[in-house]
Amino acid sequence: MPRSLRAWTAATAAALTGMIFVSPPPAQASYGNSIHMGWDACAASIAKAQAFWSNTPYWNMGLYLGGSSYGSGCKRWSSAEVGQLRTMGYKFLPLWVGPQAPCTGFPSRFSSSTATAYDQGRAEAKAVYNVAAGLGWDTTDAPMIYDLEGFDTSNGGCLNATKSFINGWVYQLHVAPAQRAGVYGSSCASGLNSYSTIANVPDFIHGASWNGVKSTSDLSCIPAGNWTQRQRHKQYQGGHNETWNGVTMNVDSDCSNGPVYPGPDNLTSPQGCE
Amino acid sequence: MRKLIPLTFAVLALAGCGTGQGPRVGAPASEAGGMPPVDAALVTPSFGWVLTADRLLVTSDGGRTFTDTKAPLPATTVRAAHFTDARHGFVTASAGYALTTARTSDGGRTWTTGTVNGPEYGSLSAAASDAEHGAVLAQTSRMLPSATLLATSDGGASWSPSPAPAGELGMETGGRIWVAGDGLSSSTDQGHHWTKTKVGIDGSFDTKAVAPPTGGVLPVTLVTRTDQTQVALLTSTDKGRSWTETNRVSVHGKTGPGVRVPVATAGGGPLVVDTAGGHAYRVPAHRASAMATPDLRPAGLPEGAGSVTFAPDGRTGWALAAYGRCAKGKTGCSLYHPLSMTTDGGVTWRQVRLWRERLN
Repeated sequence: MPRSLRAWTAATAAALTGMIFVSPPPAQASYGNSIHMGWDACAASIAKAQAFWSNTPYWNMGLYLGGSSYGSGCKRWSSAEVGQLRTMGYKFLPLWVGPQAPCTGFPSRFSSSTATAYDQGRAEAKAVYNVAAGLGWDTTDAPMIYDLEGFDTSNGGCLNATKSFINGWVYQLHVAPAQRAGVYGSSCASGLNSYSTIANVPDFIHGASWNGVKSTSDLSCIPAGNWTQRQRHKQYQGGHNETWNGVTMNVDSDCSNGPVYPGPDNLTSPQGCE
Repeated sequence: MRKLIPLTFAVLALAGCGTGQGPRVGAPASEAGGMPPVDAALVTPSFGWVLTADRLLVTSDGGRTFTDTKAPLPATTVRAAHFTDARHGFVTASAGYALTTARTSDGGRTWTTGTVNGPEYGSLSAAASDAEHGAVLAQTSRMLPSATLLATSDGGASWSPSPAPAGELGMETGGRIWVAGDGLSSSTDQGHHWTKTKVGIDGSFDTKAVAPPTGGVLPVTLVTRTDQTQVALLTSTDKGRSWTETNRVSVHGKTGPGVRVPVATAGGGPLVVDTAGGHAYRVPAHRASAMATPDLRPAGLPEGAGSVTFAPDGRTGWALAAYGRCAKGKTGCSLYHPLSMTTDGGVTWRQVRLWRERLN
């Protein structure tokens, strides 16, 4: 059932019965700002995630929730496993890897028609919402990040379709009860700055700029004045091996100055991400 | 083995060519400054290179001293290099929409550069088979099962792109190109056509990561359903069209998907270097009925070994590792990148260089 319809149905039912509809209080705030380091990987077991938590600099974890372009060999975390990760202390950068730009080689691509792409962006937002809700998350204000891999941004038609797709993604996530809409991608080759001027601007960005510099203020192709209010995550190094506590994983390295799930804010012990 | 295959490239001729020259400077074999290494290889018993995000260092004395070659490339962690002898090599980097390649025929004293326009790549792998044939495998995303192979058959005068599977690149004498990922594919026509190779692994497992063939052996890192890491060695009797498992070793280190436990050719056979440190296994390609424990328990071998290469003598080798430590909880954390050397086929190792990447 579409989210808007579901909300309308619940409100109507409450009004009809004369009851006050009150959502159960969340155990934790649905988002908080983080200024900490994190990692993401295509897959990991609970034990390996634990090895990258204890006595490591990592607080955050890129958590792939799914999507049509998410690798078939990559991990699909169960609700119980996500609960275990939360118990460890991890905060999540929730990622959704759906259809990619029409000018890419991905098997799953959105339309080059701007109107269709817009609708597809909305559909992906509904899909990630449903997955997050299925995990039992408090989705209000929860950050959701669309993984938009690099494409030929000099292709005007492709760029316009992508802008329209992201416009739809952000629009739908902002439908009450709204989420925080983010976009991950190469800070240059995914055209991230192009989305600063669309009708529904992403609430935050997760830019890949693999120069090895952690600071989120240092994002290629993103002007310093855009997304400045704790609205940035940065992937400063792509896939590489690291060994912590006897476990070697191939990870991307992230640094945050923006929203993660769940809250509350954790703005102590800075790690050079701001 | 991609770093041991002889190569002599002619001078690279690409659009926007230029040259650069770096001074010779020594460096102590202790904690090193600068960005941490992304890859390294020993090419001869005395010559090797270390690639960082902002430098290409070379040594001509086995690692006692290094020279910054001032290779004219943009600073980025998305880099790859390949040397075939102490003089000839190339290094490539992706930044923005340009793939920059720099070539040297004098051990890094001077460079010829060129650029190829394209998408921004997230990972690069480089290899070559002879003076004329070389390649770079460029991937935009690990979510994408395909990549772009840039191949040259004229010593680098021109590069032709073609679609390729994603994975790790290898080339062998004769020009056959290997790409190893979840599976193994090969091409004998510079990447125009790809053949998926049959890789026969015994039993069940959670994930596997195939490495390009080395010394006639195909190494496959397996993570079992009980979360144990094993390395299967496969051999071929039909010139690489299919591979069958002929031996396997369990390692102490735990690994995640996509991690390849290093396997190098040393002392006349494959050497499996455990990511746990302190363990390395001289595993025959074929099982023997009464086989002594193959663990050399090498002294001085650090944990987190990711890149292990041996010179053609089979005795002199390098291991580049990356492991992390925190002083207390989540504070005072660093990634250590030791470069270690062996001169006895992997039985003993000594650190020749250490990069400390302070994380917080």
